[in-house]
Amino acid sequence: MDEAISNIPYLGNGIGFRLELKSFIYLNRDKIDFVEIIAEHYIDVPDFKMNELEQLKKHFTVIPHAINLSLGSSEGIKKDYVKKLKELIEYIDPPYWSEHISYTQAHGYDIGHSSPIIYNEEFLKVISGNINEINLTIKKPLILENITYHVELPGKTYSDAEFLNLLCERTGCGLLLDITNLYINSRNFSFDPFEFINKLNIENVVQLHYVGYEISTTQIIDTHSRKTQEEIFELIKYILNKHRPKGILLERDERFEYLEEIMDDIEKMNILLIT
Amino acid sequence: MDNIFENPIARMYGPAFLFFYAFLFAIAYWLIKNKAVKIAGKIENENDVTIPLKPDPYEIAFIRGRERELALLVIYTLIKRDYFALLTNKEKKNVAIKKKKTDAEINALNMLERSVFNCLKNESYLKDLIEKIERDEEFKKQCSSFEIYLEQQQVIWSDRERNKFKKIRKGIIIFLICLGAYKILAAIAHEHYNLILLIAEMVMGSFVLADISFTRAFTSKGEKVLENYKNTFKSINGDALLQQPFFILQLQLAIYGFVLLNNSKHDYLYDYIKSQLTIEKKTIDDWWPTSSRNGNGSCGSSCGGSCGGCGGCGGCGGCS
Repeated sequence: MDEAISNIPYLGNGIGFRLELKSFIYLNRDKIDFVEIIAEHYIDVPDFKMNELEQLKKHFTVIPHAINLSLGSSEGIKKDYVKKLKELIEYIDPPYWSEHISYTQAHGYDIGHSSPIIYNEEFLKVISGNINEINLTIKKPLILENITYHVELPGKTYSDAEFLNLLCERTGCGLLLDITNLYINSRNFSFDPFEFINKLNIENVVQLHYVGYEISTTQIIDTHSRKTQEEIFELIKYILNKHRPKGILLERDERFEYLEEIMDDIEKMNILLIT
Repeated sequence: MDNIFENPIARMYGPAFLFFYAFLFAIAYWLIKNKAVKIAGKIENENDVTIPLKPDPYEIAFIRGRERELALLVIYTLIKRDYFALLTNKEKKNVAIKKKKTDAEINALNMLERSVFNCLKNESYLKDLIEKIERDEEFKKQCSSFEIYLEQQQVIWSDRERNKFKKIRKGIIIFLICLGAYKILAAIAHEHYNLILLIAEMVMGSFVLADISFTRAFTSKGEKVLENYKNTFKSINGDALLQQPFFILQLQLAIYGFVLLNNSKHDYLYDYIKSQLTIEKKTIDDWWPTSSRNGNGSCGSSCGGSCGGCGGCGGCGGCS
């Protein structure tokens, strides 16, 4: 593992910063150790947004979470975008930053959604090449997040865990393991999430994401809108028994009015981290 | 002796000097109004403003509106916590407060809340109660602890800054009076005796400058503190506010004031406060004619006169 990744300090229990949760987050600082911002919310924005970020920095460790770099795009990454991201990351000065193992752009078109890449050698080379290029510009350690997929793409030659291990090995990046995404994929495509964790090089896991999932008629979907289910916590406990990530973060994006659900999740995680 | 009156100022043509002198007064006015406050109240680490882990709504209300806002917030808190009842008449034009608990049931209240609770004998119109609270020694003592802390934090002006400001203002006025006096002597030395306009300009200009005060109740850091609260806790209006958890409700009223009750079931309370209890526009000098912490000064509200204690309000029989 890259030395910069292993030197990341322990952060603790975090939450994704969303405007709707702003007062909740500030009023519960004794329970929240760090926040994650969507990097794109603070690129090319008016001063008041930067003031908001400045204020956040004063109160929390802030981790930028990028969503639109499109690491899996075979046409490469947008250099001007990387430059802007670099400026933001330098301003925040976080211990690390994160992006998704996916693509959001193809042939210059913005898809508007994180789409899965095929877990094979060709895509491994594409994404590793893009990441290595970004790492030349942005010096802070990058950690990579697994996403959900709703169709199994043909041409897959690596298992999910194998692909993540190889990707971390070739790029020196850490892993942002989204437990909910892992659970959703395992349920939708019938594999054992515990076995996945066993196969994963667990030392690569720097941060965890978690939130409750939603069940649609045919599949489980990742809406970031529900109270975290017990089976997600079971997976987190399983990981914590093997390895202690630097941070664990609740990624809630909807139904903000149910603050008691959010508080329950945070308190539960605090108890898990203590025990 | 004649030499001291032989220079461009002394020799300046009368009307030209009047314009020049008026120009100097205008500059002095701008300096005192805009720069003297900054010079007198230079704040270190002005941007070093954070949100406390547990913000104190009473402290925020005090920063924003001193004794009056604090008293209102404590009264509303006591209403929400069932120590007081809020009463109004059919037209909802008047508001009164009635005690719901006895003196023996106030163990859960802090000293500030107790001081407000003790100001109400049985029931009283809100305006009378506020005036009573603002004169109450125990309440003043509680306010002075806020004052001392906030002055140390450079959130509100202290006596030191006010005195420094007054010295700067005095220095500028004295300089201009001396200049005017010199010109009068020079005119007399040159046997010009039509001095009425110059004297009038000197006297009036000096009065105008002497009337400039600190126009803000809190420092630039205090402004940032309030701005920070507003940015962090976005306002919630009307009935949605009343459905918030108690602490959020209290915090919202502290940060934004009772205007948030507009369009809620308690909007008559806001209307009453707006019409009966709004603090007149005051300057910082007026806030502390003598510091309220000395215990002998005005409490900074517009109540002014004495109303002989709370018992004389005659009740509020007309309320429902």
